[in-house]
Amino acid sequence: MSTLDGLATALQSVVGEAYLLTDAAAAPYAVDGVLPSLVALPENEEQVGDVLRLADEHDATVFPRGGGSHVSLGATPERVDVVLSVERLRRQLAYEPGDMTATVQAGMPLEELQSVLGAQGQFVALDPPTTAATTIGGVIATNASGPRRLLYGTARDVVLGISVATADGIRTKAGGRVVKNVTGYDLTKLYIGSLGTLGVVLELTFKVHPLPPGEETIGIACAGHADVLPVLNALLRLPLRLNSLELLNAAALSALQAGRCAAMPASPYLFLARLEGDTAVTAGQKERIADTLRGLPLSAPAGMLDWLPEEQQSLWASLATQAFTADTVGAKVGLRITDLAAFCADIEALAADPPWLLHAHAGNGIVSVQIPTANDNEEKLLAQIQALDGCVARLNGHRVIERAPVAVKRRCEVWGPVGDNFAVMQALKASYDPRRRLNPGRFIGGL
Amino acid sequence: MDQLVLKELAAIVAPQPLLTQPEEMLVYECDGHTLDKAPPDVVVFPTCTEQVVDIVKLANRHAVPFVARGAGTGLSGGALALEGGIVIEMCRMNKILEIDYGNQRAVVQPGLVNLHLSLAVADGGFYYAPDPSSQGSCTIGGNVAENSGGPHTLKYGVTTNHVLGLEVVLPNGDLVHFGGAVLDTPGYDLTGLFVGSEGTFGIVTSVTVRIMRKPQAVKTLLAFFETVEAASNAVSGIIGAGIIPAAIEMMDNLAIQAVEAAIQAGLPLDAGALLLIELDGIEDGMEADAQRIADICEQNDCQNVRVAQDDAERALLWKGRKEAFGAIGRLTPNYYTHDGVIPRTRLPEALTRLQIISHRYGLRIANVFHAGDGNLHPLVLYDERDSEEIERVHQAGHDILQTCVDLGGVLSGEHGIGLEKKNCMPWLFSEADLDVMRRVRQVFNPQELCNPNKVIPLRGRCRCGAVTHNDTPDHETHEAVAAAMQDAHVHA
Repeated sequence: MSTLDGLATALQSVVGEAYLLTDAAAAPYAVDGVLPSLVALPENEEQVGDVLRLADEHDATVFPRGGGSHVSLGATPERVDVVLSVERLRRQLAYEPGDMTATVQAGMPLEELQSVLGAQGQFVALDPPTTAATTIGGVIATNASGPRRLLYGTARDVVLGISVATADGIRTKAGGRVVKNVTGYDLTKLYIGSLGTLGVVLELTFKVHPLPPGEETIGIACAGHADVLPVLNALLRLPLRLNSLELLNAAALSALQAGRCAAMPASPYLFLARLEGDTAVTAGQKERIADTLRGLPLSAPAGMLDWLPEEQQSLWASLATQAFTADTVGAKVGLRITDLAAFCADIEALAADPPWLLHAHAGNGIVSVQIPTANDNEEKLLAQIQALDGCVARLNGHRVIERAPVAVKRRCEVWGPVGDNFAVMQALKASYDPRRRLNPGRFIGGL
Repeated sequence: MDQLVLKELAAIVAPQPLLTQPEEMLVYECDGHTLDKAPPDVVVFPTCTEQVVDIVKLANRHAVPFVARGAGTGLSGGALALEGGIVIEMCRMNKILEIDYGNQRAVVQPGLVNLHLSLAVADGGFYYAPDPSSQGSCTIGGNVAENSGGPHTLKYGVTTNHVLGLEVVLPNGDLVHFGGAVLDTPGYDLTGLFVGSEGTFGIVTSVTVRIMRKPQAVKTLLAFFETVEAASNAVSGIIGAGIIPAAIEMMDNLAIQAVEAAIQAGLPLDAGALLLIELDGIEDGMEADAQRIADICEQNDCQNVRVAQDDAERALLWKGRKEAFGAIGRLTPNYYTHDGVIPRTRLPEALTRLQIISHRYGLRIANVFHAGDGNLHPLVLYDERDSEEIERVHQAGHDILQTCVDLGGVLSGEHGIGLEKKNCMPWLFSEADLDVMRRVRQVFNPQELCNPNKVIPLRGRCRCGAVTHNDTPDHETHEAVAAAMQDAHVHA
């Protein structure tokens, strides 16, 4: 510990006594239950660089952190020397509504950014599950996404530029502040979703969008998994301005029902379709959907559901918080959209008790699977993850265990297997962080 | 080049011939960037991935530089064989390998012509969104290398937003796969990193792209203005109203004259500027949006708004836009196509400064560009037989780029850095920024054989800023990278 004692003194002189936490004060910053020796909360970008440089000089590992809402993502670390939180870097640096670009520091909460943009009738098209603490830097480092990705894409489609501090504390940037740019290598893409293993995100420039003139959510109930694909195909084929298309199974529906956000049908599967446009435009789209559904050869007629505007809002809000349910193993599964129905059938056939919650971004093939952990022992959970992996492998998909009890995480490959490109990833990591200071061991293949 | 190398190369692609005669090399001595020229020693036409692997491995064994080439329509010298060696011409690998409408994907070989993909999926009701003006000849592989754009990128994004996966022959000959048919592949986004690497990270041999459902409705408007400033204000007004058209293109008077002479679309020759505005999407609400756009144009002193009445008229309007660069050829023996980006709200200022540059150097500058996303294409007219004029063209180009950077913009929106703008990179990036880019290139391309000496200036050769780092961390980095790569080879 003597090296870290020296580091503590040095860091204190950088960030000030009040912003270097140890012992009990550091407990809320634990990573998968592993208590950090030190927590540094720098107040500006220079201090972030200094913290990194000092940690490097003291052979200490650094775990970058935003608001901590997605900190369960990644393999469990052996030891955490320094947690570097960017939560105090929350300034808006530039926002020109006419250019539809905004530059902010990484520690700005996503909610705050949205409210700044919302005042000008704009938004950044990222809607991952969040808490009030979720920072924009954290969203980018984890490449978190949400229902609106169907129309607007993910972080790689809206981040225009980025500044990071590398492991040796040097500040570097990539991209720019304009909406179209091929000047230099697109390192922005490399940093998105790199889980802080290449650098600490300092600043981000976003392409923003105008808020839609209105939104309308409808539900479409399906009598069984056999009806899922025909309904999905029909919806994707229709001319609609559809920004979200979610598919929930009965277990996910009953969890939503328990949240009392809106009346939910007791149906095996439900699509939630969110349409954009003013009232007349969404009404036209709803009519088109109803007409199409009537003509589909389904096992039972698909029921269409309407909700009041405030119910629709609280429904989406509840759906977003479902991802933070503490007592589940959370897996993100990627599939071809044409394999979604087969995946539903496979999961049904497993007849898990209690049943798994399934929530898919149906137009993108990304599925959130939640396995309830209540009263289950480690062995049973591991067996269930193995069963899930079987289903995913059969359909040539991939999966990441985003959240699980630490004992379970330690015994499964949370990122799944690596591919033939892993040597390139290792070489990139070695190039950026040769002494393995940043988030060591947490990313795919133990990077 | 060593006869032995040529013999081995010939054996790899037999019975396809090699091109080696000096007169045959003339075609390959430059791409669409014609101010710099360098002939390769040999041009080879592989027909499959295995041949590309073998060619790259051969080049490595003999330490011969190589560069992949698509249709050669690039405008920044990306396909130029700067240090001679092998040009690997990908045009024979032009098949569509798979079309999967259900998953909105296609898998294609890199030599496929961009437009041919849209044509192939048209009957299924789909198209491929990135549409560079050269889409009738440029290849998907070249688009991947350059991260190409086009008029419709305002709403739909550029190439990188539509590429889901790649098969790549790395510069050492290893065959690897990035991304794929399923979204959100765990790990680093190597697909995103590779797209736009201008041929310096390897050679792509297969591309998985997103294909999109054709919009239900399209509406194309043409609005004429007395001045470019009025047109610029209309652009700001449209965007400010929360409408994102599929495209907003601008032409100034010089460009209008050239285009009208070429296609006779009835464009008014006295207009100072025109906007070509296209809406697409669902039919509901489109008429109302078109009316709002027409109103905004009128509020900005528009002389006239014309709506394309049918597909034929729409096609004619777009023909004028897409062939505008060619039409400029009617006005001048040569022209230099620039590609800078500025924040959209700085458009009026940028165009004024372009006029000043035009006067300063006594050169005519025509403007045909993507106004919606601030992507300028000033075309500088000149005559290459006049060497004194060429010098002024270079100086004007320098000033044009400097203007973009001064206004908060960047050096290139869609044509790439290549050879052309390599030495301007320090205007935007610090030596530390460039060092990171160099190190990433070293991960992919440690021998610097794959399209050498493009995109990033050599260390210490920048015009501004001193080299600030000592060499120790770099050595350490190189060793760690080498060790990681070696490990990987042992495992593989």
